[in-house]
Amino acid sequence: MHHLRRKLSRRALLRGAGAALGLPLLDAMFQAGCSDPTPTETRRVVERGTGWPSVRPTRLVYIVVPNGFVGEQWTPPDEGPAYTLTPHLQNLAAHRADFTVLSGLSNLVIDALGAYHTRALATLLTCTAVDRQRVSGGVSIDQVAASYLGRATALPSLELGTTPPHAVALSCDGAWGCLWADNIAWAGPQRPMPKDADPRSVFNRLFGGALGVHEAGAAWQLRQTRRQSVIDFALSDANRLRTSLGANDRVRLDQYLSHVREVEIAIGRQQQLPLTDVMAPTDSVDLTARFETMLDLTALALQTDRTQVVSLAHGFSFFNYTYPTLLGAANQDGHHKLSHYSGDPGSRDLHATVCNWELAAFGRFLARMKSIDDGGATLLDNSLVVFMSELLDGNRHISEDLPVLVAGRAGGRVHTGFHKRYERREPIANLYISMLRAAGVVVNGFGHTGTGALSEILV
Amino acid sequence: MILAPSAMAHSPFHASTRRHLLGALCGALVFSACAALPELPRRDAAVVDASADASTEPPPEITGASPVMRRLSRADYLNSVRDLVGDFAVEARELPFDQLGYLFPNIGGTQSLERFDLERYLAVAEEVVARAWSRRAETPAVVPVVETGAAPSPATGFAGNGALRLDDATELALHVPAPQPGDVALHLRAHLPTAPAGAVRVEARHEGLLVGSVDVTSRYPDAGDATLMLNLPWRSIAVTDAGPRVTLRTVGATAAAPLLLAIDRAEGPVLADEQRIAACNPASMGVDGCLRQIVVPFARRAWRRPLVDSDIDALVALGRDRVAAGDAFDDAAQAMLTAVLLSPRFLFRAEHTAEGPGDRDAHELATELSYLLWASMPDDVLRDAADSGRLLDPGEVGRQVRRMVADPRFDGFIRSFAGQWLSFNGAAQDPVNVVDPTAPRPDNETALFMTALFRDNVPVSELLDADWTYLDARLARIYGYAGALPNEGFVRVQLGSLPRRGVLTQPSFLSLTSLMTQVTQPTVRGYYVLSRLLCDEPGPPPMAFDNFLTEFNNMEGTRSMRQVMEAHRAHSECSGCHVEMDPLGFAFENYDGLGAYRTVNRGLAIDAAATVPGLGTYNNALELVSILARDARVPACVTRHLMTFALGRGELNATRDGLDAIAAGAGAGGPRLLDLLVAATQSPAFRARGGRGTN
Repeated sequence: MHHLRRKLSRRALLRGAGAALGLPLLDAMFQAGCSDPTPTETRRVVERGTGWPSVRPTRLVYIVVPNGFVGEQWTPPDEGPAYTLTPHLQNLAAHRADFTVLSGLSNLVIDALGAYHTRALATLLTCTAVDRQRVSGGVSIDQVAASYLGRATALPSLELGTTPPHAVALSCDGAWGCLWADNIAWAGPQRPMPKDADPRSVFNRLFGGALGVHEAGAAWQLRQTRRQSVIDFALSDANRLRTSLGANDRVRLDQYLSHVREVEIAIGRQQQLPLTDVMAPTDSVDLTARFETMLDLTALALQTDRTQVVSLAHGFSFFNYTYPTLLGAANQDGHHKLSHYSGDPGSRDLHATVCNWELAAFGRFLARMKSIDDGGATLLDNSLVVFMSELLDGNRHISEDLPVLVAGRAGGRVHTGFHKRYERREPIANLYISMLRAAGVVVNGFGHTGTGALSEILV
Repeated sequence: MILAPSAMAHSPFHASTRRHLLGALCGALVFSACAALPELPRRDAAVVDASADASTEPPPEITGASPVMRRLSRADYLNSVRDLVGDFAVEARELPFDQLGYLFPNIGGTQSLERFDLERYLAVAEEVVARAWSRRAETPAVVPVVETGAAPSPATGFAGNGALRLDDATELALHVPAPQPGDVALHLRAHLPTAPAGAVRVEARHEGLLVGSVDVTSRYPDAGDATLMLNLPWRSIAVTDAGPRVTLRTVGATAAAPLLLAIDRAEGPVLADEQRIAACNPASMGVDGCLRQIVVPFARRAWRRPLVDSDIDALVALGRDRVAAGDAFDDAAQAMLTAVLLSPRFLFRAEHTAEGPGDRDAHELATELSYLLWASMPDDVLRDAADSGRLLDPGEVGRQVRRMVADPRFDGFIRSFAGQWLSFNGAAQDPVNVVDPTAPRPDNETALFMTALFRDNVPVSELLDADWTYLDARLARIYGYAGALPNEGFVRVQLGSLPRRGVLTQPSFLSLTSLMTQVTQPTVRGYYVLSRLLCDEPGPPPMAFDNFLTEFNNMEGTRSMRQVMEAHRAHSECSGCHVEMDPLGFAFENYDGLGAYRTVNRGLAIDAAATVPGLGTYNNALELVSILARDARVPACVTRHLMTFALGRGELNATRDGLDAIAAGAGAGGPRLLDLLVAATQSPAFRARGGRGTN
């Protein structure tokens, strides 16, 4: 007898018809764009059965590290599945069957403007140009993914980082520079997605706090309905307020309204989770530890179906951290400075030390993802993780030939384990389109440069 | 139930994977469940090929120059709950990030709101209400005070109790372990053994700043009860388990005529009546009556304008419905109060902008004045002036502004406006939040300096060429100041022959614009002067700039910083802007990354002389700041930054937004700073609803 589980609407839950849903494998009854006039190709409906491997939703992860790498230690000299592992990629040797190296992808939306670092991170996931009046020209790919895939989970997406945004503007470029420097994920023009750089806060968001659980049974239910009442009031009060507001203010209020509704839905979906095996993370001022903690939280969030889409930005533009635990407490050269190593082998080697740590940490993340069972396959098998930087080598600040790895199989829908070099400045937007397609969302364009999927990747 | 094979063939699933799919029946459930889901916001449909229905008009495009209602910044929110219910326990990191636009965190057009922000607002609102509720009826907790440090020998006079002898040369250190943060009342018994010529003052300091004082006139054998109210800035201190450290000193006591002091007890937090949520009994007043009594004064103050009946009824209905749903009265009432704090009427400075162009009403004006000058909600005096309509008179506005500048809450303006404009908020700690309690606090120096500039109503020029500042013992070492200073605490000092004048020679600016102690950044310093003081910000560097950085790294060694910077002039794409920026920075090469004065760097004598086109020629920083103090662009730029902060939008127009009229300056040195602030708040642009200006 197959044990069927269904996710019910919020109203059904509130009427007490809620079904107990287990941890960590929540069945996602997913309909992309229910009232969407153009539904996607895929309608994925899953069931947990005994003995039947189930189809699990594809997770999408976007990891960006700043300041690039040592170019010749990254790019393999040969293509194909038997490519030579370069010194940087040696850190991932144990996983070479699980990831693909893509060379030659470019993001040519910022060539006409200067201040490379400031704009490169802000446009990396949006593929839309920025100028001084507009903060960011568009939506980032993870948010596009979240708008389609995010309805099945408590959080449509999760934005993580290792540094909080700049609290004081010093030499951020122009009126907007600080926002560009800090944010890779954008809900739209002028709308950076707030990232969380505090592991305790991330954990709280996933498992505790306003969307979480502190009491047992009936007391918890009562608290959730109390929260619903508070939010219902906020919604109706906002609607009352709206009539006295002009057009610009209504834009702001509508943002407020839409997010309050989302929070309301999320509270309605919140299940009481037994927190037996989940340990709260500790934080550290050492940013290498914080980056690795964020990778752990990414895996945990995906494993527990808190979200399907995660972005993680390490640092920010011009990130000039001195990495005391890697380079010694006496080191005074920040990473940004080291990345401009020019012909100096000493600086190059220090830069490479940081880059190799980044890749080794990514390798540990892949190992963790491979160790998690996700309905018969590993969590990595059911995911697509892109790992990249906003430039290949610090000595050349151009948005061509970006360093890109793609790991995971998206449930069997992508090939892995080879190196492919693209010529003709292939837009990285096409990689993003490919990843979405593998996750079951069909878009034919993205940003200013996307033209279609990359056929070499998709099965 | 299995889907028809044809459907499976179209799916991209791996052909070899067998699975069961819920069939038509469950499919219908899927659709009905979907239909029940409220519509989630459509993202920017333009980027997706899937053509969205174009039934709704595109919303107006908001830029940083657009007038749009402003959400409370972190500081605004923290200060508002402090003043609303005496809550000091919210931490900044619990609140949505500030998104800076044009240097400031409260520019309407750059403040978006995402879902994560709402989650945080809900969590914080619940906490604040819960804490405020627990303080409803309680009298402040009585806590022991632990004394540390060298205590003077016990004196006769008090029977037992370990009375202490204090004079101006001694200092008493305490830890105040109050169970909750807030204003603390320190109850003392203090008297003077001999007839005093006048009162002796007892001053309490925390982290060098004065946090309370009381005058003692009692003489032995009077009991000499006195209360010293401590206004402790709980958020900015490194709190140990023993509580914040406070030092007491006397002013006017001598070894021959000391003050005799015994510390009785400390009480905290001490709330004003209006900060305390009404205590009523639903059993005697009825549920509705009690809910009403609780919510009306709270919402009136939180929403910053008088309530209408429908507002009150809706709030009371929320509480009543919760009681009916099974909540205890306490929980129902707290739900009501939480809803007040989650409402956009609290979170946003909303105005009646649907009515089109026009002036702000008195309540909107009060809100804008208080968030400008205090980064907080209006107090009862300002509220009364609004309720009565008096505030609509520009003369009354001027009076209120002067009162508010003299109030301790003016610190909100100093941190939110000046601290962001001059960036000295960033001079306090390093970015990974490691707080070293023994490190100097250059931000406090500049904050005190800026406060005095406004309160003393000095001309704008004095920002640049003041021959005084505030120093404490730690900063005195950086300055090489030899005058007498207390062990702890800032005092105003004359700079005399020290090579320092004005804010540009203060360690806050100098350290912010350096990478390390001996690695200054002349270009950043120059950029700062151009953007903060001359409003002449250069554009972004050209595309090739980052490739030149590599050349610079290889040019260090035995060259001076100035010589390294010469490379900027070697490239024609760079020289256009750098010929202005770099020379401004060279003037400050005599000040290292901590702000200490030096004449030699890397074994080479420092050459601080330069010429800036359009500005002048100078030999060193002091001459430069003297030139700047007389430059007419500086008062205009100060006014521009001030009005950007006041109106909440950038790209202001000098005529339409009245900048010229506001800065129309009296004598030499430009307008006086307090007068400037008053003129700004009386200007048509500030009075216009929605910060729209007079377009």
